[in-house]
Amino acid sequence: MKTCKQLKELHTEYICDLLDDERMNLMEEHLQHCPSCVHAVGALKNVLCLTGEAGTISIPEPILNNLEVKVYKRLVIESSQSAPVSFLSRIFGVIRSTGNWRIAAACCILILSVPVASIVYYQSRSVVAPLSSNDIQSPHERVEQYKRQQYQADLDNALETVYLRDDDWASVGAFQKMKEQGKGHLWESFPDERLHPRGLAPNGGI
Amino acid sequence: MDTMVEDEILVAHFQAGGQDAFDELMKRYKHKIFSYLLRSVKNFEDAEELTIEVFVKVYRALEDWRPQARFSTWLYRIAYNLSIDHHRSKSRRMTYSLDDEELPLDEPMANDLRSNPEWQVEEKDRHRIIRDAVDRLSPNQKAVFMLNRYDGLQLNEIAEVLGIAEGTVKIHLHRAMKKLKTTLEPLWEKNEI
Ligand SMILES: [Zn+2]
Repeated sequence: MKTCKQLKELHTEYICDLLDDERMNLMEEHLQHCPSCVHAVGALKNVLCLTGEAGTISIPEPILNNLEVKVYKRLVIESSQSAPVSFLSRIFGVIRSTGNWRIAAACCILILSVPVASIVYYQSRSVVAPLSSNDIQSPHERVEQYKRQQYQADLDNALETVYLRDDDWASVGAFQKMKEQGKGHLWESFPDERLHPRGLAPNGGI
Repeated sequence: MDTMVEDEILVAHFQAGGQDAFDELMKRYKHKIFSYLLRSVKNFEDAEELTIEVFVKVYRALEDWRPQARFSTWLYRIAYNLSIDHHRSKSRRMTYSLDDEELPLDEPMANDLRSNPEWQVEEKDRHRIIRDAVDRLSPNQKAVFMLNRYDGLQLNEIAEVLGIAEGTVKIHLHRAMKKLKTTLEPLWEKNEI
């Protein structure tokens, strides 16, 4: 049988629900006849309640909306920077560490030949794919895909704005039909008359 | 994608070439990781920047990742390490000690409030007082308390995130609760929070 003092050490675990069944039962039994422990446990519960309430944070939705594409963009930037930079820093490291200027001259010739080789190399692979699997898109391709999705969403919004302006609810059916037809099209490839179907001038429309 | 698919299965899917699996992992965790980092760095811009950094690191390392621990635990560990680096680089003057030395309680908000009984504490101020109390915990106590109470991590998961023993995590949580009780109890007894 644990004493009141021993059980006091378990108050945090009790209210955080971290006790095993045996100790949980002991605690509950003890709480039935120990006002001091009841008070202490109540105070800890209050701590949890207050800190939980104060710790709730609401994050505006737009902040996280584009996080995925920001991650891919960062990967594109870092991939295109890291490879040539690390190569050149290695060359300069050799020059610094040896202090031998013959080697330095040889390195310079090598460096001059590097741009030609690297242009050929990087044009063949627009970014360095961080993963080896052929099926995984490069971050660059992923960014392009997100852009296409954004174009499509912008197009949908634009069409909706044109058709539903002035509460022209009668045209909802026509709008839905056109939206269906427009699936898979990109903003740039859409003919103007479909964006301005009621003869609205481009600058007076959307 | 099925939301009930386990993270580790999504990772395997990504490793086999399924790009969408990584997007799904980001969707699942961006809110949690952002919230965690926001609590840690207290600044939207820095929190967003660090969240992006977490997922960039994950993307680069995911090919070689093996499920020895839960994916979510690994993610929090990366976020935790980045937040520590952030604090270190942001404030070189302040030694951000990883051991569990107590931070000085030199300017308790409580005394200021008690000295002014007529002051009506508004909701925002009330929350600020409570958050200040959490901020005044030692770094390890605060990390354990927040990961457990706000992010819902189990003690063994917290131990992995922080790289300490589970027993130590329990001690930090116990001390954190004790200290918060000591700080906040006089305030609620006087209806000041
Ligand atoms: Zn007792």
